[in-house]
Amino acid sequence: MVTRSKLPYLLLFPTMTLYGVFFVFPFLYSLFISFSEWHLLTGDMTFVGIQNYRQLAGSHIFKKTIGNTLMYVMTTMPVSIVLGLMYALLIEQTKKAKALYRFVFFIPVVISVAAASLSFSLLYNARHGLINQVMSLVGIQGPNWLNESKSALLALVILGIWQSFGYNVILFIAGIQQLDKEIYEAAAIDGLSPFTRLTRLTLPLLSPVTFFVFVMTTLSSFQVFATVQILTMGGPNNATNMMVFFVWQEAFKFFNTGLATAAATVLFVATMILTLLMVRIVQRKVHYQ
Amino acid sequence: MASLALKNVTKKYGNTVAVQDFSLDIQDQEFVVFVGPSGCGKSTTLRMIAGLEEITEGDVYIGEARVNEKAPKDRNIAMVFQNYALYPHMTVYENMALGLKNQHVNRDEIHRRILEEARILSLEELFTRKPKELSGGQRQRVAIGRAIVRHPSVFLMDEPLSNLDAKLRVRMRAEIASLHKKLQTTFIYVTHDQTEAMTLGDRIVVMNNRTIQQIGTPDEIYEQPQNLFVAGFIGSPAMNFLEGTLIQQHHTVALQLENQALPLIPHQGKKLLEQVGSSGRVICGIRPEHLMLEAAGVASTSSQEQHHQDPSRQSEGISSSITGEFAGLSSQISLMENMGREMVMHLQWGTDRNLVIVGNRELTFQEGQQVRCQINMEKAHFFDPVAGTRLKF
Repeated sequence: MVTRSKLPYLLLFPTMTLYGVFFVFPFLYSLFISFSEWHLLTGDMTFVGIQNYRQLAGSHIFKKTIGNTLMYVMTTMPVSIVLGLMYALLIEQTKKAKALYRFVFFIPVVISVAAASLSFSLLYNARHGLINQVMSLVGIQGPNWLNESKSALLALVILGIWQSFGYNVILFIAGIQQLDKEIYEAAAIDGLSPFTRLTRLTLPLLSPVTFFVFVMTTLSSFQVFATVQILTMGGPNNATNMMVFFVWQEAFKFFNTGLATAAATVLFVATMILTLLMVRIVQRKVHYQ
Repeated sequence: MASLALKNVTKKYGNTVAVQDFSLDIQDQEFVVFVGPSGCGKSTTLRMIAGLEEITEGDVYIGEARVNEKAPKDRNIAMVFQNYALYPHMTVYENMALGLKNQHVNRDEIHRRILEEARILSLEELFTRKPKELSGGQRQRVAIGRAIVRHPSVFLMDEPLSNLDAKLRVRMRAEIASLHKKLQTTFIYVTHDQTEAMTLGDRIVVMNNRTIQQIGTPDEIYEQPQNLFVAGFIGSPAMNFLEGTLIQQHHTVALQLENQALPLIPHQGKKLLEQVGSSGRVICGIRPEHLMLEAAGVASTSSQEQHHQDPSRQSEGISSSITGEFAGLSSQISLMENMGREMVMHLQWGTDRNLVIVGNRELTFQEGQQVRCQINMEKAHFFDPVAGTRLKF
């Protein structure tokens, strides 16, 4: 016989067990590894204190990956949010083919990252790629997108925007459809112009969705990996080396598992602090109904 | 302040007609109520007046100006919505001010007007609150406040009380009535609640199936319903309908109902016979308060009936009043509903036919008791069973 006071814990037990096994334990174990020298192939593990963190602090490449990742996040996130919102508003105002537009914009979300990356590698081809061919039509000599330091990160940013923007469009459309139409009728009687309606009503009323999109896009941008691995392998000259790719490279290419987990821990702590800051600062401007 | 006219207004969505050939003249400062069941077209008509729906055919005039093509903001109207439609992220003050700011009214004037109208509606304490921090009644008052600060020519209200509980609805109904008196502006009010229509309207427009059924004062609508729909829709409990055949009995005319016959008052019978066809079929409508119950040779009248009787008849006593224009129907009490102030009794007669009577709650009848239901034929209404229209007598 289960007593009333024990029942909640019993019901929580399966979920908490899964959470503990797959989230808490891996984090604590990787934290432990980050203070060790652990060779994956031999299994030898030696406690080295904060040596891995010292090494990271002195690593020119790690600093470069932090810079690249921040640059990637700070460009991909705002552009995909603004474009997502803009297209969602446009789609919701069209009278015909709404479903078609939604489908078209959702395609990037369901296409596998590998397929999308390979398609983009063709588009980015310096000689035969569609992008450079179109640019040449207006007399612009396109760059060697994936092989030049100046353009490689931009190429990944464009792909990142393409990937996340469709998902954002769908989220914003869902948000717009939830808005009370009577409020807009009241606004029409109050004489609010379309621009005022957008700035005084739609944007504030969509702020819970925008906040969600903001957090999710930021976090997913920090975790960019597959496109880097498929298109540039972090090159040229570490111009597109990102934090998660650095972790993967150190762990599975150079077998510096301790250093890799230290970098992963830094990434985890950084994203956690950032998320908390976003919740604290940005959420103040969110209008929950 | 302005008069308003709708001339042959029709609204279609594709092939679906939502409002058919609606014509109405509303006087300046008049309180007109559109009432009818869901889907009858009353809200669509209101929205066409507001400019929120395009008019398919016909014209709408506010004052002297035809406003068909004018944007809602240019019609000098204000609207109170069913779900209040307050801007949820703005305070009460900002909700009231936004429309005025948009009209470029200067800040001092906005503040003066908001304070003035807030005083009428007791909103001063709520200025800094957001809609989610308000009760239903407070939200409704803010919605009304937002409408009145604009000093519109016409107020449009779309079922503004339907989201409130019964007690608050009664209070807000009284507040709206007194607001109309204070503001002396034209009000158009949409509701499906016939009590709101009867208590608020100077005139009532009863709608059904996309068309106007009757336009009139509350008394006209109640006392002289022009068709079966109006007769059945207005009044609670609803009017009783008895379908039967007019027959000649010696020198009088009677209404034959299955195996019982109700003698009509002489002037009724003659005129009705002239209007009905050879079938003689009619529907007799009688309101629950115009029925009385009689048991063991003593009749007990409904409270309303006692009130409506003229003094001379009351002085004659109840028993004698059930002769003359009263006709009796044998029936059985199937259900008694104690409404507190009165008793609603459901009677069964003939083959599964029902009557509802409103009576004094001190009556000593019991469920299952055989009674004789006396019908005040002076108050009876007669309708053509095919066309549903009122027969005059």
